Amino acid sequence: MIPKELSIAEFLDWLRDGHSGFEASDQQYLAARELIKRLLESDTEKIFPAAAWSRLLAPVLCSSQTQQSEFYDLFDKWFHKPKLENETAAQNSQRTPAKWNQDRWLYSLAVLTFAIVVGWTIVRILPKPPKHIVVTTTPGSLTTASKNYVELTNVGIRVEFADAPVGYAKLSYDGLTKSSDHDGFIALPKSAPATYLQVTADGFRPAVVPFPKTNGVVVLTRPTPVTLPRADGRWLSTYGTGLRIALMALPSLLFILWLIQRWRRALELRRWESAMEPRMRRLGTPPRKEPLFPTSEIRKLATALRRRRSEESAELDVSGTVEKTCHEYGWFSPVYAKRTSEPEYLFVGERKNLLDQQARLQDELLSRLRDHDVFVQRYYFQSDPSICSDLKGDVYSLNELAVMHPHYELWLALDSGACLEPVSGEPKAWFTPLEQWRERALLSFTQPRTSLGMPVAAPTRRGLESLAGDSPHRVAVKPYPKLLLDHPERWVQRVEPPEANTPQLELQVLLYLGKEGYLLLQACAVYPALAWNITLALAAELLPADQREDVLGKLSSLPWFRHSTMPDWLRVRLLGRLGSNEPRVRLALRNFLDQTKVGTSEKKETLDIVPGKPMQSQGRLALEDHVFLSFASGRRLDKLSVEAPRKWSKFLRDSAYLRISLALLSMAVIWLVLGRMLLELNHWLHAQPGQLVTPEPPSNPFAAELYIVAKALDTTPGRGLSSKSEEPDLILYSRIASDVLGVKNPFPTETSLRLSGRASDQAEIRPGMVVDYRGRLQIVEAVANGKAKLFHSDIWRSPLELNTVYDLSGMAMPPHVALTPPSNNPRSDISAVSGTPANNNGAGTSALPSRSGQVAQSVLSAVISAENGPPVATRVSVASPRLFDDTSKKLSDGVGELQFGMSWTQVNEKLNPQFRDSGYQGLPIAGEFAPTEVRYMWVRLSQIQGTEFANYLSLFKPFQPCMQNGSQSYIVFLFQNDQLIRVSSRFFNDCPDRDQLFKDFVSDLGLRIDFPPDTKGVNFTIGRTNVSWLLGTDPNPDTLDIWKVGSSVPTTDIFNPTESNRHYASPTTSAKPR
Amino acid sequence: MNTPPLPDLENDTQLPPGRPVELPESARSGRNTSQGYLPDPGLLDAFRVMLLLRRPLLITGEPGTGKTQAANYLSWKLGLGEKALRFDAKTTSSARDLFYNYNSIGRFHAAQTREGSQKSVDYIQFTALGTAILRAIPREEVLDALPPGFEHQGPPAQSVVLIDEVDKAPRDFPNDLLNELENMVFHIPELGNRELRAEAKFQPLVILTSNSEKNLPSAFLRRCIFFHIPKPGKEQFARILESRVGGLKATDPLVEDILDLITFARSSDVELNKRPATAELIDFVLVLRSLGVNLDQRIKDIEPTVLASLCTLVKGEGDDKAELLKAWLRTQETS
Repeated sequence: MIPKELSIAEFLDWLRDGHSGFEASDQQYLAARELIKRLLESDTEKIFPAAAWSRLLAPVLCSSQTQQSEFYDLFDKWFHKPKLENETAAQNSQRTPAKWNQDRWLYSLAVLTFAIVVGWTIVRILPKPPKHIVVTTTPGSLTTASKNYVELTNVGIRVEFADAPVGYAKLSYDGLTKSSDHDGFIALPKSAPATYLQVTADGFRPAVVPFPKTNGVVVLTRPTPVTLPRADGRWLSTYGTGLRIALMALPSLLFILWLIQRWRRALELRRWESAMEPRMRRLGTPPRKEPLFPTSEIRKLATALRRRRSEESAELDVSGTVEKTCHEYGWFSPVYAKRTSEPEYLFVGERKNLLDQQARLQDELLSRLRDHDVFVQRYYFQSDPSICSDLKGDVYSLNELAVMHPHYELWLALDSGACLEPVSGEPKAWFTPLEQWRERALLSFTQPRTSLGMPVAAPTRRGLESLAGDSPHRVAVKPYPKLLLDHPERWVQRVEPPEANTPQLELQVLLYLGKEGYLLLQACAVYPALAWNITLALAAELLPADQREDVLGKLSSLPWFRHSTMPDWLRVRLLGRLGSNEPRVRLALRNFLDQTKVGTSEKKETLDIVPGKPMQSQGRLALEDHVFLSFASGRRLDKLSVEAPRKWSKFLRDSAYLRISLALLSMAVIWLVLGRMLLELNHWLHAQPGQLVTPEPPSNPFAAELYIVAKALDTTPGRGLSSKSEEPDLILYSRIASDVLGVKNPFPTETSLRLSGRASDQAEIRPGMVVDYRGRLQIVEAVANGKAKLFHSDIWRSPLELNTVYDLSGMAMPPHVALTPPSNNPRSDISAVSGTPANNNGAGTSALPSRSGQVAQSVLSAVISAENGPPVATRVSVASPRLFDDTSKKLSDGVGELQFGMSWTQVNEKLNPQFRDSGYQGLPIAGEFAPTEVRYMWVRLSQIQGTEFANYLSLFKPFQPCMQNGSQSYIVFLFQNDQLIRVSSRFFNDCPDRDQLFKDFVSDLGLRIDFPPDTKGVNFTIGRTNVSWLLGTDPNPDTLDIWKVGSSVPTTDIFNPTESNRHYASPTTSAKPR
Repeated sequence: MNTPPLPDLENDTQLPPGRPVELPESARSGRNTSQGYLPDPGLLDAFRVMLLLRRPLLITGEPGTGKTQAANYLSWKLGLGEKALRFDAKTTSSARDLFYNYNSIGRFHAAQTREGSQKSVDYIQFTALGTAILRAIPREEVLDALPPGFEHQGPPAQSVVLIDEVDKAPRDFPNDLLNELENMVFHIPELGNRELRAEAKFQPLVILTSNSEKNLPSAFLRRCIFFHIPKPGKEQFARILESRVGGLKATDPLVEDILDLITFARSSDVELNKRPATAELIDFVLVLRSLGVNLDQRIKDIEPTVLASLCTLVKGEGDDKAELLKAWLRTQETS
């Protein structure tokens, strides 16, 4: 496909803006634009294939072979970047085959291990289809509920829907069914025990209401159709899968944390030896803000150097020849024309190595001169000029150069001392061929000891200016350091020369460079290697503009800059004297490094670093020093190190560890995606086709009540819970249920309800069931398509996500208790009734223990609408928790040391005198317990003094006069199967003031009771013990019964809600007023 | 026609004067045509750009890579003649040399002796670019500037001009050409400063070649289109051989060996002062063919013959052709 014109135009703009490093003139860019225009006007599809665009533009924009190849690279980079990167990566890998081979097995092993671990994990967590179905329902045993004295004053309820009466609604009650009339009214029996009534009507949801719900209105609701999820398209719910993903991603997260930790450490640049060829990274350094050589000065110099010079030509000067021939009287006298031409220069300079900074400085100068059309041919030599080479590396002798460039002006850049024999002082042998050039000059910072027959100038711009002038003059430079004149290489050695007078050397260098130049020398010692572009950057930062050129000229002549290395001993010395300038220098250096860029053309200024610390090179000869990028591991950088910019951490991608980590991360991502797909596939394979169903509440009253409570919480506006932590779960439901039903802890033990296996093993999940979802028990609202919808959630959960299912269908409906209207404080009643000590500050001021309690009350209000009912319960509150607690301990499982479950013999042994020794079977049978066989024995209260339990009973004031004076009152011990189940005391008139006795008893227990006028007794539960005081009507005694919860009760007990003795609970049998 | 054998150069017998020995025809004769030239795809694109923009095309590349042939190929391809109008730059060349030469001595002599033509135009000899510009102007418009014997068809015509090895010329040479190349116009002071300007439609197509021995002025480079002919690879060499030499295929054993040998000689494994290029390869193959070697043979089977012919391939001072052949044979054995 042919790139669009716009893209090409953008490419040209990118080339032109200078960031690419490509240089072309405006004329060339205009030509390129014109070419594009013409190409697009023509039939480009046929004539120019896409690949030819670079070949079409290159001829216009390029002027040399180097530029052409650079252009092709840039074009590829612009339009085919990935390919270029791939090639680069391939080249890199080719460059270091050993390194790759060394790491490859490590990569492979790591990736394989990770794949195995992740694969095994996924296989383990992938849910398997159920192999067998286990259905076990174990309803929990309910604690015994009690009831208060109630009085019904209304006899029916009204069933309505949307303010309209619902006819033919059915009321299920105690095995009977009653229908509403056309006004929706259902008559209730006047004497009914507290229980639950279920109201049903066709097309409506069943409603379960507590009885007595007198004079109330039951509002029926229509069932809401449930929108089913698609059978095959739904993703797994977020949380279950998310949990698995989180588990699988944990190793990856740890890796990431490790990498972050690694990256946070400081990076340092330090010089290290390397025993193997390191993989260098080339960084493009920022362009210079201002040219090293002032343009105006260069232009001036170029003008001087390009000044045309006169020379003879082979052409005939016609007019001169005619004139001269005339002068010679017609004798042909040719006159050759003179012509002027620009001089051409041959610069032959010494270059110690490729990084020789003096050679770089000269290159810079020549390059600027070339820019101004001075023709200079450049050749290099190393110590001996007789062998020279050009930029391409082609080698020439001086004689060859003389043949190739005969008319050039020769500039020989070499220290003058190297031109002479050290002993004789005569010019060296290679000096002779130089005489082939008519115009020649020596560029040196030092004057030769003897004349060389050619002018001498400094190898700087000023030196060339003097040569271009009419009268070359000696260059006045400060004296070169004497210590560096002879064998300057010794100062480059790693070990400080023993005989060296380093302080003297420093002084000489300081005098030579000047103060500013010496500062630059010190600054150059900071970076671990000497680099030309760093030298320039520091010069630009530290030196005034007018001094840079001169200082750099002198600085580059020093041996360290010629050899491009500075020994550490010298660096330490120089850095030690930097003083207050050190922060400034380091900041300048960091700013410079911060602007480097990766990936650059050769033409740009570059900086080479080696990412990563070198491998150990024990026993191997170190090849060379390089500047390595490594971690400082949190330690403080020493003087010889430079902190690298943070962004250089990208070079750590070359690290083997990092590559392993990235490989593992990639694998983790792949496995996560794959794992999710497998989970989805698994679910899709086992999904069932869906159908529209309407969720039905459970038929079981208890489960139905839970369902209604959950529904009320789920749908009642303003009654929902906002905080996630207060999301309703079974604990809340059970508390509400206990509030409503009078049941304490409806689920005594989890194991009694727990089904074996996961939810996916269950045969069926039905609405009203309780499930364990993410560790919380919740109620199933609806089931469809094999998925369950929970209250308080719109997401259909797979059975795979539900861990445990509790089936409440077998749970018995607990007996109901009287309820207080919502305006009162139901919590106090509940506490007293259930025997739970409430955290109460006084009568009628108890605070609800929790938010769930408030919700319970709200829901209670929503469910029960008996706003106008009379008080049906006695208000009981705890006045003295401490005494109550002590008492409750004594009465928790018996009376003092008389514990329920003791045999007749054991009980009898506690008595003094004992009951007759008749044996258990000889005891009389209590008829009121029939048909249960309950036997009893009795003693007078006055006869139990001295026993432990008598002491305990004597704590209660009522017992004291009876035990001291009583001749009629007695105490009965009742046994069932030779186990003590009940202790019953009968107080006759020998106990004085039984009314006060009763009140004292209640008071001693710490209970505060507001007795209604017709109070007949009180009943409460402490722990596993029921306590009841039934007031007797004279001559009948008052009866105090203490019995074990759940044990048999006499059929005549008024607190026993059986049909036969219901008349005892009648409010009409009013007790004597107190 | 029977090809005469090579003379025995070692025989002491001297042939009598006037009876020179008959030499075989040059192996290169008839092969240095544009028809067999295989231009680099990049070069073709550069030609296209040149045709669109009508700018001079500067071609660089190693010696022997076909820079000169490229101009002839373009001329031939465009039907402008078998060969381009050629100007060989020299160290003494001046800008005027590219357009015409004026025989001032002859004119002076004629004026002195009153012998010969007294018209200045008769002493003018147009060179490559001058000829091309003259041909790009209708004949009737330049009758006064046409020297005797100048071929002009009458209507304006296009030409391809080759300025070979422009880097040999003095630095002033390209600088002096800037205006002339841009406008395709020049003046002849000897004819009263007669201006000759090519018609826009028929402006000559100028191709310059350079061996990059000298940097050309940037002002000149900016006005040129540039293309560097890359070093041919083995496959390119094979195609060139098939095209230029003919009668052989790259799959022939001898050709395979030759291609291997030249690839080896151009590689960095060998230190040669002068690396063989396309022209040397063609010469080498032509010589081998002339010596009657069979294409089914291997170099190792005809080692002496190959060694004798290697002088066409190895030309650098100090380069040892025998050593090169031995080194290559060693690589063949190891592989």
